[in-house]
Amino acid sequence: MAAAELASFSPAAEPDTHDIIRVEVLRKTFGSLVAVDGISFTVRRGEVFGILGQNGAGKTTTLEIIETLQKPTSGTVLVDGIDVVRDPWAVKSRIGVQLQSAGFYPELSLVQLLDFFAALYNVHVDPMALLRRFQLVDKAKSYYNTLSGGQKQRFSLATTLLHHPRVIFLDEPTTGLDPQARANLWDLAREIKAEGVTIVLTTHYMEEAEQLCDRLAIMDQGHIVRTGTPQSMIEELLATGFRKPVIRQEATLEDVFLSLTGRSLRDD
Amino acid sequence: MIDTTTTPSPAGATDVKPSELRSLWALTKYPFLAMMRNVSTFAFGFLFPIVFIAVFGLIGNGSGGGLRLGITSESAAQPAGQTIAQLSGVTPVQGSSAELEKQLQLGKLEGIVDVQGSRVVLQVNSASPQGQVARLWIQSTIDQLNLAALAPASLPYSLDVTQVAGRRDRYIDFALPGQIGFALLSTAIFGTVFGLLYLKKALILKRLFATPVHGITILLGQGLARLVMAVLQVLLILGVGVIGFGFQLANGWVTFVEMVLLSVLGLFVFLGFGLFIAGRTNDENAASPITNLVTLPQFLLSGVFFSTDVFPGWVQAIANVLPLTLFNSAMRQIAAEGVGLGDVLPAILGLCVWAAIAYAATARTFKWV
Repeated sequence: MAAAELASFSPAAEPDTHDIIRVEVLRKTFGSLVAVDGISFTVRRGEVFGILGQNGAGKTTTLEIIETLQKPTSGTVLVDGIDVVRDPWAVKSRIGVQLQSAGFYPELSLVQLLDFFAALYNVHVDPMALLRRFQLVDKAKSYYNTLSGGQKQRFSLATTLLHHPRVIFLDEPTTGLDPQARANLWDLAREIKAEGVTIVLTTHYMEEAEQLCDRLAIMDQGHIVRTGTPQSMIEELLATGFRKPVIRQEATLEDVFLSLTGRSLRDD
Repeated sequence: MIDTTTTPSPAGATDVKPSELRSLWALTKYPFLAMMRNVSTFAFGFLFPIVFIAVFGLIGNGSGGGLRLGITSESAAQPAGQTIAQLSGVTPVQGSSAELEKQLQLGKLEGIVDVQGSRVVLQVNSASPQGQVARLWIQSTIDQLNLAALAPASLPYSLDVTQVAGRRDRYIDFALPGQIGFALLSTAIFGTVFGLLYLKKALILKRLFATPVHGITILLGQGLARLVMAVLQVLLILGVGVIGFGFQLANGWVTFVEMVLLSVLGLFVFLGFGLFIAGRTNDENAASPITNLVTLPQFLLSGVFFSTDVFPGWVQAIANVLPLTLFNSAMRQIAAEGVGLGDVLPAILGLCVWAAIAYAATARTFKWV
């Protein structure tokens, strides 16, 4: 009913509702270890969706199953209406993937790497334009392993976008970055979202989740313990009578650090 | 709503269809470029074989190749002593008789000549077969000196020696085909095993699997990149051998083409072993012993550095069926004896059997992660 209504307003809309990702009772076991224990959630087209959780909560496994990099033990995952098990190749063409670390030949220059990935996706890109967008032009001839942490993440982000995917996956994109590099990556993520690309990310940082994510899923030991918007989750907690024991500060130490050292990137 | 001037909107983007051919080209070209920048690939694939060839090429070219004969200082001044010191093939070593005797006992000399007027005293090293050669040479020199002194009108016997122009059998001619085998086996096994393990460890493989390429295309690209490298190795080894050390290609260009074709087959067979090991292990500590177990015996037993003839029969029986032995002996026959690929068919068939075994085992056990 709702889908039919939507279709009548917007003929270009996808036939299968506005969810770009549907995960239904997904389960993944490694031997006796249950990594993902029957989770279900949906990601809406155009939103930034965050998966929060400790190390080992099952975030990366969940992400890699959606990315077709691992096979689910049971359950269904649809990306843009396509079953990841039945047609992984169609899914791979529609998604952009940023792994938790590296993933690039250290002996190739950034331009070579972009040409390489463009060929794998069978698209034609202007490597310099892409590098300009991610503030890496002066690193065009540099090798991947000479980049700083922030530059590596920006470059990795650039490779996720070169084939104009509908959704990109960022696995802990800001882990290990300094505050400037982190803020810079958030800006880039917002720009990407503004262009209509859905973003699914995992993070340890609550501030990142609050700043970036439209909706969140909190994972613990293979289960999703809560989904919702950051604001609704906070309100829900407050409704239980929870009060933070400290007085709310007008500024954080991070604000102090950024005001003293500036917001600009200095990793080149 | 969306700035289409800089980035086409994803919603409006048409689905891109991956192209296997374009992927394969990229999966050959870029890993090849990365490989050529890798220090260990360069060392094992290019530097070591060239260093070995340089060393082998120098064997037999040194000045110390002659018979080392000690000549006491007093003897060197006398006519018979001078004649002996000037014999071609003799490297005279002068010194006091005490010094020379010490060297003779150490095996550094084949004999010591001491001329006492008309009497020539020769001490030889009884442990050395060369000592007997020294004895014959000195004997014939003394015979000639006697004849010259007597100056007979006619001699009852004479000796005419006709020299046949044969192919010079030098160590470089043996060593070079073996070095091609060594280089190919290194590239195919060490290169593939540690290359693929690195791709796994650095998550490069995982990142590739997130793109719409098939695993078989990745493997094919790896194989093709190594094929290009193997051909470069053969060209370099042959170039250095021919130009630097006078290696002889039995039938010129025909031999050259046949050597390259055989190298391609050899690489294909050895790649099977590399893939087998790389597909079974996930870390270098586990891969290292298996890799060495496969390669080291072949480096030692397969006629890379010395002929398999030196081994006892039962070792030869094992050595002769090893893939590298089949490859090296076929390569030597083509390079040195000038036979065609058709004449080494048994070795080629043997290599094909090894390839079938290796790829069948790989297909059964290969795991990407």
